This record gives sequence, C-alpha cells and structure tokens, in this order.
Amino acid sequence: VNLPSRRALVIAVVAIELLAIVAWLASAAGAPSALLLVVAAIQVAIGGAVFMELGAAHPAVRVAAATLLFMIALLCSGVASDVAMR
Amino acid sequence: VAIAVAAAARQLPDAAGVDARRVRLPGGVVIEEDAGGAGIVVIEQPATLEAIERAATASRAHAWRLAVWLLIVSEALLFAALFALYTGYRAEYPQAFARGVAHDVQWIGGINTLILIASSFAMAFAVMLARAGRDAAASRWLVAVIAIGVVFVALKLAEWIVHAREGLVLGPSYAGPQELGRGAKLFFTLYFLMTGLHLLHLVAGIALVAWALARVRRGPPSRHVLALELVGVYWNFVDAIWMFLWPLFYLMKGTS
Repeated sequence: VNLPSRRALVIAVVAIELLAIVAWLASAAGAPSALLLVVAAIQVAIGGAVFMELGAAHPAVRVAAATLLFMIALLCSGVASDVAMR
Repeated sequence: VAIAVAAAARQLPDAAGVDARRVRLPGGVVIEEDAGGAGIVVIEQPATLEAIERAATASRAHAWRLAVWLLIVSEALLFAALFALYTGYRAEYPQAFARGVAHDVQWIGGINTLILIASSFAMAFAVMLARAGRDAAASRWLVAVIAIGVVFVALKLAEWIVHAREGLVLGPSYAGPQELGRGAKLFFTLYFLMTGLHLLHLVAGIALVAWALARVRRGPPSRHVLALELVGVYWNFVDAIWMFLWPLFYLMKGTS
C-alpha cells in the first residue's frame, strides 16, 4: 500500500496553511464568496488525499467517498436551482 | 465458518466439473466434507496458523475502515444539509448574513483554523510513527493534537461568551444590535447550531485521541495501529468540516 510519506505530509500541511492565509487575505480584500469556497474545497481535497489517506485507500472506501461527493453535488445543484428560481 | 463454506460450495452445480465437496480457505487450508456426513476433514494445511490469522486481521481491518468511512459519509451529509440551509437563508438575507460574518471575532476564527490544520498534520504524523513502531514519538504528537483541540474549544467558548454579552444568543432571548438588520437572528442561530455541532464532534475527537493515546502507551503495536488510524481519519474529517465553516461564518463578508 502506497501510504503518504513524511515529505508528503509536510508538503500537504504547508500547502493547506498557505491556502488558509491566502483565503484570510482574500476575504479582507473583498474576494467573492465562490472563490473562498473553492479554496476551502482545495484544502479539503488535499487533506482527504494525504491526511485521510484516500489516495491509498481500498476501492470500497473510495467508492464511499465518491458517493458522498455525488450526493453533495446533487444537494448543491438543488440549492442553486432553488435560489435561482426565487 | 468452515462448515458453512463447505455447505455453500456443495450447492454449486456438478456441471462445473469441480469437486464441490472440497473447499480452499484463506491461508491455503483445503477442507472436505466428511463422506460419513459427520462434518469436515482437513485435506491440506500448507499455511501456518499465523497466515490464517493475518488474513482474518486484514479482513477485520478492512471492515472497520469501511465502517468508519460510512460514519463519516453520514456525518458529512448532516453537515451538508445544514450548509444548504445556510445557503438558502443567505440568499434570502444577504446583507444581514454579510454583516453577521463581519461581526464574528475574526482573529479567533483565523487562529482556530491555522491550529486545526496543524493538528491534522500532527495526527497524520502520529499514525505514521506508530506504524513504524515509534510509539513514544507517536504519543508526543498525540498529546500535541489533544492540546490543540483544547485550545480550539477554549477559543470557541470565549467567542460565544463575547456574543452572549452582546445579546447574540439562540432563540427568543436574542437581542442583537439593530444595525445587523433583519435576518441576523437567523444567521446567529445557524452560527451557534453549526459551530456547536462541530464543537461537539471536536470534543468527541479529543476523547477518542485520548483513548488512542492510552492504547499506544499500553499495548503492543498490533493492538493500537488500526485504532489510531481510524481515530486519525475521524479527526481529519472534523477538521475538514471546519475548513468550510470558516468561510461561511468568518470570511464571506460580501454579498456576492
């Protein structure tokens, strides 16, 4: 099993911390909400792949994670259509 | 188990051209139904008992990993529903929500985010060390995770106290400043509900890390590596939820 190395963990934490600082600064500069949520999604994707070891997980676990993403995408599209049609 | 497997194998059609009474189990053991109907007999036993135990342990570990991920999926859907609620109300009251976000204690949200990310790293690092058999070092990193968790809880409670002093509380006692506008009550209701639910998860996470720490200090590696790995997945999930709560309640100050 190809588990994350020490180097991968360090790179991941530095990247996520930097993205957090970027989001904080962008918020102070009046960045749009969508951009801030995209940054959050990237942070979670890095954390999921490296810290939660999804990259090396059993296919059954990856299917569970993919199903979660699909359900959240469905929920988001439902909310977006609700807001758009008001 | 062997009897059940042999019974199931017997139901295979004879046309398959295999000896339906003979079954190979994980680990290389071959068993056969006793001709006298008294049970099963072992035909081959090339593998050691350790090999069979290893196969069983791997199977149990997989089942536990899948169970924890299913728990995470269900928890994530709960939070996703609350995010959807937030989005719906924010679309209804964009000004009030933007003012509510700006009213939250920014430095507490920011510091909590930065330390929680550090705790994710500490947790993953502890798991890596435990897998390598370096339990003493893993224990130190787990203590760091617990300490960060406690600081997060303390800062969050401090922020709640600041809000409560301004009248920004849940329910009919809400008496927030008028300039926050209509919808501010909804914003702070969601704020307390979602950050409170996250806080509950974090406190549970601290308890689980403390339990894993006790196991690391007490038992042999074979007994605690999987437990530590699963606690680590849960802890990182709680951190991932905060990655979305932070922009919702501290960063999204505009109405766009």
